[in-house]
Amino acid sequence: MRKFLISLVLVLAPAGHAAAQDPDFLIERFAVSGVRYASPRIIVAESRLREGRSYSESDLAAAIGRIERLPFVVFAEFRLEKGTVPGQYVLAISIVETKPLFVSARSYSSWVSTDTFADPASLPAGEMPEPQTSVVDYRNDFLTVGGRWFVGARGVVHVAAELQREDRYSIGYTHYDVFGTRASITGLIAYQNRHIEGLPGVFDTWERKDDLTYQALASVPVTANQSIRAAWLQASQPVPRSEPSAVPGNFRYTLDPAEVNRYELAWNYDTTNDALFPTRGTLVTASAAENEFAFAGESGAIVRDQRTVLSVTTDRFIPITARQTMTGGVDLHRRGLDEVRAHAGYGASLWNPNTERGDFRFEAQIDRTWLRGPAGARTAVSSVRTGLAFRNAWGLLRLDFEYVGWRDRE
Amino acid sequence: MIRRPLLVLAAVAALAAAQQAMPTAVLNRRGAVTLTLPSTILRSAEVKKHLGSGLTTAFVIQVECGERKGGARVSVRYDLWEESYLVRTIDATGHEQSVKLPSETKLAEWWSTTALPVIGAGAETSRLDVRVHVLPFSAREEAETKRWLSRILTSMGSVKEAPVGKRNDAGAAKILDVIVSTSIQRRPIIEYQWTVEARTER
Repeated sequence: MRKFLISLVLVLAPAGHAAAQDPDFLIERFAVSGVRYASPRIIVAESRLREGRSYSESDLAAAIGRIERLPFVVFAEFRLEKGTVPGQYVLAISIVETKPLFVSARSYSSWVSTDTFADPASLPAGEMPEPQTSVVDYRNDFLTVGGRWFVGARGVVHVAAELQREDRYSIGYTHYDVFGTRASITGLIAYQNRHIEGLPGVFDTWERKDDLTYQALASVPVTANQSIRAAWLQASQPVPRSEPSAVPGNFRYTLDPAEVNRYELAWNYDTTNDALFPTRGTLVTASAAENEFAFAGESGAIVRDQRTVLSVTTDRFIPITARQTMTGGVDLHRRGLDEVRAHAGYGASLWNPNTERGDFRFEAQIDRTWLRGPAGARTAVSSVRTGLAFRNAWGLLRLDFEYVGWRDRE
Repeated sequence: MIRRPLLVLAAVAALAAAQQAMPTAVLNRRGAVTLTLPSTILRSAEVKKHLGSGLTTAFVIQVECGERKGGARVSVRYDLWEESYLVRTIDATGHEQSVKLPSETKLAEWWSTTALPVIGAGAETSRLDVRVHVLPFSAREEAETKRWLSRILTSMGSVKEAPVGKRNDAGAAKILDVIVSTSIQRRPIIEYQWTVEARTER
């Protein structure tokens, strides 16, 4: 015990000495430069620093990370200048911002190993079907074009057109630093062309041209790196309903829209340095969501029920060299079935990222997901993903390849 | 006729300038290596800009000498109100030093005359690969470095009291890990790399 206490004193003493040498800077004013489109007030609000308070260098480094996580900031830099009184400083914040128009394009190719069973009718009498493994390939291309306009000192209007299999157009507004609290609120309305390809003889192709989604989100900072987020979403869900078909004894399905609501409350701990390509820091989110879902009751009427989803997601980004990062994390979800996902990854900038040339990265990730159903059935599946990503002040391009397989079932 | 001596003179001047821009290393008979960095690092536009920010700039030095690896770290902060440079160093032996320098000229003078121990002992070849990462620096990282360093020193009894051979292996490697691994947390402002022939003191 004595040895332990002596060790503890020796361990803590230099830390305290170091803390004493760690200078604090009393910030009397902020001066933001490099903003052509963005509002300086939003930059200061998102730094979560306040005038008249003292901050250490690590506080300032964390504040740079928070500013760089803003979707319209590419790069941020701090510089101290003399204040009006000795010992006080002006914090000069210099930023490089994104363009007001942005493009995001992604091509995602997947190869999924699946087990299929032969039709028992085609097999000799008494023979049970054996699973046949085959690989199904998918390719999804996504293109998002959008714009961002700053309204007043604290508001941003953002519009986006997502062109994919089901086109989606959205308009939203984010208000930062609500009542000077550093909190932000966002409202969003999205219009979507819903399209579900029919199966001949089972159900017809389903299209819905007036599908609107409403979303509201509020984020309240609790400490420098922690925040509470509350979200609400109302969307329409296609509900399958069966009715007798022309073939006696058979049924065909129709899809009807039903409005459903989702509510989420989340705690967020974020020390990462970038929203898109973090190279250091930790991101932990714990959330509880109440998801309404709709289904057709026995009478054919639409019935609604609730499902609680509990999630914890963790990501850790560890820089191994100036341009290479290892990532790792575990996600837990409880939503009718239990899901545990562990993942590890590697990312490397293929050139020295800078504001002129942008950042061009190679990324690779492996993950394994374990699922346990309500009846106790267990399954596990692994995937490996690799890709290239490029981003600059105009947007983001991604090319991803994924293989999903290595299943185990119990 | 006049052209040739001018060319020779220019070549000699260029060689001298290049040599000035190189680190100089000294290898002693115990196999300890000290390194002096060129002051051209401080004159680079990116470094000057950061040094003038009033925030700390860290220079993380990594050295490879045959099988031996070593390093050191120099932190520099310009105090705007005192108008002086506060310099702190941690070297491969775990030794720390703090100096206060009143001007940029004095900083450059200190920089180009201070020999930093980068390998405690055991270096067998005089050829060194030197890398310097110039990083924006967080003081908390330094506090963490000191805490880790302290743990290592405590767990080993004392690196300085340990036998020379042992000091070179486990202890020095751990100190190096601490100096380097806790520093490569940020994207460098700039990086330098050289291959240097150490002057041997026998």
